[in-house]
Amino acid sequence: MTSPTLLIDIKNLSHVFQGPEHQEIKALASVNVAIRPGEFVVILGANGSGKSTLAKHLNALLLPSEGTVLIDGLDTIDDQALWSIRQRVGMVFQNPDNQIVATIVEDDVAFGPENLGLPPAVIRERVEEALTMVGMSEYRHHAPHLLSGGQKQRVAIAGIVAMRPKVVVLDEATAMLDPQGRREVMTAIETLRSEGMTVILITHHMSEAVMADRIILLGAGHVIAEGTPKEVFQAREQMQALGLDIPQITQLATLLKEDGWIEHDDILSVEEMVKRLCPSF
Amino acid sequence: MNMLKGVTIGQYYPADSMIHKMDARFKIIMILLYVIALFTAAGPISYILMILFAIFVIISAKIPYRLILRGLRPILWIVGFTLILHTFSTQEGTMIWQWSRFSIYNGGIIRGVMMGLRLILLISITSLLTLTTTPIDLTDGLEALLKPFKKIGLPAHELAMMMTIALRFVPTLIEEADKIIKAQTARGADFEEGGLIARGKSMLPILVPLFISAFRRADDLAMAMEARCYRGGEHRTKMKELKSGFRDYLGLASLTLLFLLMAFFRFAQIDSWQALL
Amino acid sequence: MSIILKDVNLTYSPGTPFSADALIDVNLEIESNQIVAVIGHTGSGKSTLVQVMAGLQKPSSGEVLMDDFVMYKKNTDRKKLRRKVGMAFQYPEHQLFEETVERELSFGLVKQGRSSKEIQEQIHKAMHFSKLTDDMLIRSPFELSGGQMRRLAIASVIAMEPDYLILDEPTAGLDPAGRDEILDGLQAWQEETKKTVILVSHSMEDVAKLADQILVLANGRLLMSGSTAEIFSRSSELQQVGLDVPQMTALMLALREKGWDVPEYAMNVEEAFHAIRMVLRRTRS
Repeated sequence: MTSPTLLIDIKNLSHVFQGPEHQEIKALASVNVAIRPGEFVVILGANGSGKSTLAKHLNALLLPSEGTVLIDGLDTIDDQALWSIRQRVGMVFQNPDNQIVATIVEDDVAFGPENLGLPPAVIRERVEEALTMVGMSEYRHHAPHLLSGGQKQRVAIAGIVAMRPKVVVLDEATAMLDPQGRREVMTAIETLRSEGMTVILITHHMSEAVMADRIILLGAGHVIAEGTPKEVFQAREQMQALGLDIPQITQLATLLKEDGWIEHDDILSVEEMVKRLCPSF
Repeated sequence: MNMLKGVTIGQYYPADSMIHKMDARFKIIMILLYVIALFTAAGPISYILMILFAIFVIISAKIPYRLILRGLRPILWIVGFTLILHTFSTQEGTMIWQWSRFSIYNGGIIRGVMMGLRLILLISITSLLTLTTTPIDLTDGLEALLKPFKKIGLPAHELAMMMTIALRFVPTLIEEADKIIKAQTARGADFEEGGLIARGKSMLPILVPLFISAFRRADDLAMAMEARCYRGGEHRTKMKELKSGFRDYLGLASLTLLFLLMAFFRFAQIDSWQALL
Repeated sequence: MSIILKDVNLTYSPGTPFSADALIDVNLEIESNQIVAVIGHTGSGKSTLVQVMAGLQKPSSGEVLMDDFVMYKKNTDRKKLRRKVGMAFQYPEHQLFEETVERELSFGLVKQGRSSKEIQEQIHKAMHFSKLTDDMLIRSPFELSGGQMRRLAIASVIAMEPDYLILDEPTAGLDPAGRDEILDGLQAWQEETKKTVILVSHSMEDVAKLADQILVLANGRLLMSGSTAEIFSRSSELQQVGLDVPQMTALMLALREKGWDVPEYAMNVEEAFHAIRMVLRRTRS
């Protein structure tokens, strides 16, 4: 059987759960998502938009109330496919501490491959590879509680990479980090991408979203918009209504456009703005 | 609190020694056997043999003496107390001193010394175990030894996993407790005033958040483990396999030699406390 | 009215192999009635510094004075200290523990020995700050949403009416909407009460928006202290110690490099817009 062209194929996904007063809450409503191999997709949304719920459907931590979720052709409601799905979709979570299981870094990175029942020599190799990829080889014998937030998340990423997944999902993996930690994680993501890995980043940080190939904008459980960063950031009022930031530089661009100084306000960085304002240089 | 950050629980002291390289399973078994021998030692010769054995192990483990002594410090007062207790209460052998109701028999002194030595050797040898074995090897070793008991329903793998996770999170929880204490102190909480009941109640602002946090961590961790395909101990492999070898059999052989010597001296009736008196 | 630190040094675990210098020769003065931001790279000593100011971490040497009240003396009046300074740690919602929102808010107030009338007043103000409705008073704090819990935790410190309110990264982990709510609330509180707010932050944009004074820490030392405009105009020094400048300031600096006559520092988008427009009007006329 040939591999499907879509790595992740979500059709008409709805997720309903019971609230604290036994009311029905629709966290996701008729969501369609298609992810191709090698893409870097950012799922953008404020708290309560359903983005974390969506993330948990990607590795069958949650099952659909309606609709289907196909991962590499495998249906998440298929019991037999559960572990194959979870090997294909690796997930890094928000809290750096609450993902690390072992007392030493290299043992934690080995945890995933050990669960897959791989031979010890193979596990060793993969652990070395993964730690090198995230730049944490020196720390292989360190205790996790002595590491910074960014370092812990890199160890978590290594733990996933060692399982050789097809997709790495980062569910708000930078939310609890300081700017340095965030930079470390984004660098690790760039390394993953250079190796051809499909990456899905779930976040509410604009500075991370601008790097995506494609952004899926979520609001109240619906897909509000989809497209390249420049396309999605055009809908300013929408973004603000959803409780999301627009980069200050983009806000400035809009003011300059409205005042007639520049033609297009699809500016996402300081460098772009400078180029736009100083064309002769 | 900050000192605890640098010290890993279990106090593993890295060194390049034969003992460090031994299989954890053998080390655990040997400790158990040694402790049994300790409590069945017949007389002074046995004790001397056991002390020599302990010293021999400490030297081959390349552990600095001060680390062992540091581990003994907390129990020194118990040893002293035991010595005094037995000295004044045991009435064996010949009396050597008396003053009104108090009397000391040489049998009492001997018993006191014997008990004290037992404690010292016990603590020394067990701290040697944690000093020469990493926490993960220890839990792996225990899991392997308990595996046969799975047949009677003992969850060996789960117990070992629990221990590993506990060891992993103890420093993290200590840090969190420290932060919670400071935060509640900042709100005026006082943990030092009042009687027993008041002090008990004053722990609530620390214990409640700590417990809630621990449960939340457990929840998050379970989800993360599942996401990494964890499904219990079946079909799981280990990167670091316990491999027994020459060293381990040598160790076992030397322990056996110790027992044989002790048995010989006992049955030859050379070794007994009575012989001393 | 001010906080003064004189030659403050703090070393963790001195004399052991784990000893670490957290603060080195820190001398500073914080005036009242303003918002002060403490910024610095990870591990620069920011959290330690504010804990020293809050009376929660005794320095190894040096003096800490709050309105002429000497902290860390043997007979320091702790109750008086707690009335002067309040502190909210990172992720303060992790310290909630009471059965109801009302009890959570009154916890510190009861410890301060206030009358029940005062307590009710303060609770009312705190509910206003945290944007919670009165029906929530009898609910458990753990039924609230993440953002609400955060606001409740901070409100429980504010309810104690400290003269100096210290917050360690009050917006950590919040989405943009949640962050705005907290910062707007703090700004409003400060404007109304004219007290002093000291906050540790990693967001240069937040700092630019709120702060009157900035303290910059690097490797345990106080590198710079001054007004927001002063500090952000020293961008190369900031970058050397691993700090960013707010995006608008970075733009101003980049334009100046191209020969534009714009100020070195812009506090927000509007300021940047006006500065750029002025130059454009001149050159394109």
